Amino acid sequence: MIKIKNISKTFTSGKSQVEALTNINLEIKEGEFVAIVGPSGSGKSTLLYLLGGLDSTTSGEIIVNNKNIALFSDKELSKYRNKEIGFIFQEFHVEPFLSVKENVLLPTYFNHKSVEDDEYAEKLIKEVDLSSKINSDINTLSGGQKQRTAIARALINRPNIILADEPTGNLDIKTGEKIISLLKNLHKKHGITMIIATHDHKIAEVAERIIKIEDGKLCS
Amino acid sequence: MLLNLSLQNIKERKFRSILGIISIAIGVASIVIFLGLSQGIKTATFKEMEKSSPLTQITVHPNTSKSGVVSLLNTSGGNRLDKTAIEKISNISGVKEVYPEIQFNEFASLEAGILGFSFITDAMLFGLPEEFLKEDIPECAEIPCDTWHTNAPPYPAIVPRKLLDMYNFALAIPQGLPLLNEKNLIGKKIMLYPKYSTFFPEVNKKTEEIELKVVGFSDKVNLIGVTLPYEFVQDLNKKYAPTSEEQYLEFFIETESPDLTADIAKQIEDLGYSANYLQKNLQEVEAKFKYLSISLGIISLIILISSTIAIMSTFLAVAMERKREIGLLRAVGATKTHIKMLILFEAGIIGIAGSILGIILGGLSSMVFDHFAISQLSSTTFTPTTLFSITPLLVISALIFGTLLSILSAYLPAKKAAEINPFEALR
Repeated sequence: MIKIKNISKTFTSGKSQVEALTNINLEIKEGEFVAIVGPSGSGKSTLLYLLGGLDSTTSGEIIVNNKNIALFSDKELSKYRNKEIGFIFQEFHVEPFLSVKENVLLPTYFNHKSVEDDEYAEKLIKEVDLSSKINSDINTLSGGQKQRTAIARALINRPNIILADEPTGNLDIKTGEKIISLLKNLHKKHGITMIIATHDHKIAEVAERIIKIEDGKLCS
Repeated sequence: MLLNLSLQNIKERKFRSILGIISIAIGVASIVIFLGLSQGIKTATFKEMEKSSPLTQITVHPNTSKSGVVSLLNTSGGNRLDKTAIEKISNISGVKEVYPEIQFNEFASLEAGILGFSFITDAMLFGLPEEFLKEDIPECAEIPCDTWHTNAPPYPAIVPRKLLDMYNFALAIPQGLPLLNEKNLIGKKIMLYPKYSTFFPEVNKKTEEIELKVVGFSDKVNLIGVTLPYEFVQDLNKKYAPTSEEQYLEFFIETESPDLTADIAKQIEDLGYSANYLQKNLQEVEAKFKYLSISLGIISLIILISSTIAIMSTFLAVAMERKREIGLLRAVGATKTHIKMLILFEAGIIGIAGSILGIILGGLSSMVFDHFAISQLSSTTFTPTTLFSITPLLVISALIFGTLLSILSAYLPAKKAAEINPFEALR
């Protein structure tokens, strides 16, 4: 269960202050598939990054599994990101000099990698239909294949929450649809809480719940 | 795994990695060259000093600090070098032999034909026991050693080795004359004219000529003349300076062991004489070498500071270039320490590679310089086998130092990289 209590986030841009999120209150149940929808600059990515512990709130609380992550130390936040969260980014963010399998295994490097991880990585790569590319140079892969690699990487440490920030934003419509379908299937199979930030209402429709955000405030 | 990531990063950023390796290599090479040279010159100098004064040798003079120079020249006073002094010193436990040195107490001139020219010059004649001299002329090829003390000419003459340097550098090179070496001169005949001076008209008449033969060169003998067997100079004094008092110029003391030298020297000083020995001289020379080491150290330090700045700026640029990668690593669970370690591992690998390259470059440069310098010194009597002392300790120290320098230089950039906000890096 994720509880967001009255969080605000303000950025400093030069001499001025920009309020990215204002008094957000939200609850997301365990295993829920949620889409956060809003136009560009509405604050949906900021909300996602705050949930993932990649940035700190200006005020408010984010309770994940009964713990306020806003109070976590840097080390605790790193552990939280490693164990509890799987990130999928719009720009894939794959390591250019690692193979597909090495990219998938990347989070395990910071969590005592074991032989089981190797086997699980191979299983996930099969699930995202990249078995034929397992040892390939990541740079030879298409955008869709890179995103599938990133999805497998997000799942490697068996997280409870997947945070996907515009996961189809850099893909063509057909590939984007395939990725969304893959995410939906993985959500069903693994029972993971899935939170997708998108500006595309069509993609949002696959989610169990849609949360609209505009100018840093929730609309519904 | 972090090491694997570091290696991959080094491979991917070849140009920057090579720049880092070169920076370290220059710094380490300078350490190897300068410290190797400083230590090498020191070792070569010590070896050279050991030639003229072995570790078991003490040179004894009248104590000039107590009696003064005038007193030394007159050899009057309580601490004169005479037979009583020989007896006193011989009685010191650990003294193996006392070799006294005398001089011819009259004018003398030497004439020699060298390189087609005939030279005649005033010269001082010194006498030393043949046992002491023979150590430097082991073969006795020119005049059999067992006949040195006979009264038949030619008599053996030993020339100071440094005299060759003086001729070659002060005369031959400026005047364009052929250089001389020991081989040219051994076996050369010299005519000795006792009680004859080329300077003073009152003794400008050759009364007798005695044939000498150069039998060898020594670093121990007096620099300002030619040294002959002790008995021969004694005989010359009896004949040409019978009224002069028998006195010794200096004593060469041979001790039973190098460990006893300092203690015996102390006892000799307690008797009122001045005693010099290699270990004491080495300390003084070593103190003087500190200046050379400090100077070369400062040059190395300047080069190292430049290397440090170069590495620091390289890693700062790398950290900024890798903002997104660092953001991703943070997103998948890397702590600040992981990021720091990642950069420092890279710096360590670059440091090791740069240090190895620097050691090889330093070693090769030293060999080239050494070859050139030694060939230049071949015309002198200072002929060390090498001017560099690149010891395993120096190599290991340079390797450790270069690696640590690289790691320390990368510490600030690593800290900066660890502070990168993942949110800002990934957006």
